[in-house]
Amino acid sequence: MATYVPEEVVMKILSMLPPKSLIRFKCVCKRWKALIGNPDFLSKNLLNHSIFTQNPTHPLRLILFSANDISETGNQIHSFRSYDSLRCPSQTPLNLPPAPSYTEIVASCNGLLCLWDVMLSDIYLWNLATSSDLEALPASPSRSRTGLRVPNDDFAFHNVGFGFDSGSNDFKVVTLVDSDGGGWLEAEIYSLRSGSWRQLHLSVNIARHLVSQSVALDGAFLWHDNYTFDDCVDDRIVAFDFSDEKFRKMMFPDARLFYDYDICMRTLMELKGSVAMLILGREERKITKDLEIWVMLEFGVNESWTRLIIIQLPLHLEIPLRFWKNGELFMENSEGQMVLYDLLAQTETNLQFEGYGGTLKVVYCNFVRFEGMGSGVIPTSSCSCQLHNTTQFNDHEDCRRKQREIEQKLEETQILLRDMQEGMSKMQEQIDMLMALVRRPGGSFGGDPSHGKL
Amino acid sequence: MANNGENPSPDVGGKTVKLKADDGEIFEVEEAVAMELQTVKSFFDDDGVSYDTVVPLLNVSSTALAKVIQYCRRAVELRAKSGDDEGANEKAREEREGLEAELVREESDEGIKELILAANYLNIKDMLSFLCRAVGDRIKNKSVEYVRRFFVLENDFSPEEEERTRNEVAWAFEGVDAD
Repeated sequence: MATYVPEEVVMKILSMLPPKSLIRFKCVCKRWKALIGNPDFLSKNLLNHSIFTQNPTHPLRLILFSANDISETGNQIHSFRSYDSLRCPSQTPLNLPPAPSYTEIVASCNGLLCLWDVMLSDIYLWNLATSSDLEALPASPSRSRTGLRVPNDDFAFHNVGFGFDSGSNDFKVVTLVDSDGGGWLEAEIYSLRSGSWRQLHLSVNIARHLVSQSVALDGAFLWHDNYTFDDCVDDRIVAFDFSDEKFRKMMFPDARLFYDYDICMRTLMELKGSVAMLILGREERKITKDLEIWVMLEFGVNESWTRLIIIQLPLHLEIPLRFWKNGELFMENSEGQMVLYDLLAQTETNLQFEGYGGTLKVVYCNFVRFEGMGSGVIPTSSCSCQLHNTTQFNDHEDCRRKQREIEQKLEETQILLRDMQEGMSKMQEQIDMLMALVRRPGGSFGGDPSHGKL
Repeated sequence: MANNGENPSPDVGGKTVKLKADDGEIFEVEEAVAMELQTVKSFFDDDGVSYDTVVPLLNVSSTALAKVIQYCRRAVELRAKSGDDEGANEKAREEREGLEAELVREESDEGIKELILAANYLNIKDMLSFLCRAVGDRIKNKSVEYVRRFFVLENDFSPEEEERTRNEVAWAFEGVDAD
């Protein structure tokens, strides 16, 4: 006889399923359809629980706010905040070392931050745990072909992506460049493990109008066209997978869905491990604008785009930047200030960070001390040298040399100490002799001048 | 794996509890292990209930109860091993995960359901959690029909309703395991 499972247990089982399964199982029976519910931002049902908790990311500890300085000096300002409290972390204030010229932050994962010097086409990695200097990557093949280290007007990376391949335990940097000026982009990839670059063969055509605004997911990197869109055919999302090193194209939801808006801005973002699209739409006569949040429930499946919510946003909140813990949104307001907007409570908090309008950025950093890298570029915790925690990146040879220097100094110091101790015991002997002389019965100073020197 | 009349394990100091499955079989279990079953714990929390009383577990089969006891014994041992030491905790956690995998590996669908119902009735939180997760993994790529059979559920949709729902979310029906 087949066993019947009570509903409370069914709920428990269903609460562990991914969104795709739950959506399919709505067809099981009417009761399940009601329990599973519809995807939206507001209701507490099994499906929303699944969407918002399905992809637990690594424990986040830090957020990095960055922006161009208001004074337009071209300087960048940074502020590290605790992920939980959004305040500056009290222990070890982190300071990003200055770079030669204007750099953009590409992404951060597993304790490394990747920076891109847009002018000079240099790429840097920075280890958050050791807080040391920026480590420059060697020039990529396409860069080398045009001449090393010279700011070359003809050469520039079009896009840079950074991520971690958990399969091979390797950090990778991928670049897109228009080498021959033909309008199609080529790709190169750098592997930290090998310390070298490789050309990638693309199975899809990527056109030049891909813009630098990007989204970092776990193991993947996405770019898209950030203009107010029309029905241009190439209007797509390009996704790079760090494991199989392939580019794939994905579509946005049909643009016609948003034709009612007079003005429309679209952003791609990460929401709990999934790809989300935010639409800020404005109808001329209204005093608010609409924010639509869509999520791609199954990565790479265009049909799985689902709208979670439409809400009204006050006009002064201009650019959505990133989702926070429970769906709150980091946004840039019309004064170039960083604000946290709670979508459900409709309240905003000023985060005391300000920059040049349109340049604010939020980067999530995993403060994980990465272990086991063998290339020698990034310090490994498997090396027993004490130095790796305090000095800049170096390889083991440098380390050993420094270690020898220190040992030598130690030896010299010990010799010095021995000398001092000898000197002190000699002094003590002389003091003893003097005391003996003083205490001699009937004695006074004087005595036998032949009794040793004082 | 009946435990009839067996001597209690030495480190618990000899206190045991008797549990009776639905077919009348009696299991004598160390007190610490028996208290893992919240239902049993509540049974004795009542005033005036002597520890000699046999606890009737009418909804649990002897096969399921045997496995539950085996799991709980190991769980109690592992919990005793972990403490402040990060390394020891990690090891204990890995062992427990191995234990859980072992428990569900050979089980049929009916067997795993029986275990879930036992864990639910006996109110063993950790065991119920991992069993639900295991069932979730089993069914997540299955078809709607498979799930109906597993949970013994009637399809109360009209053909039109079902057709409509399926078409709305056709993408969710891609890549499903064949029955």
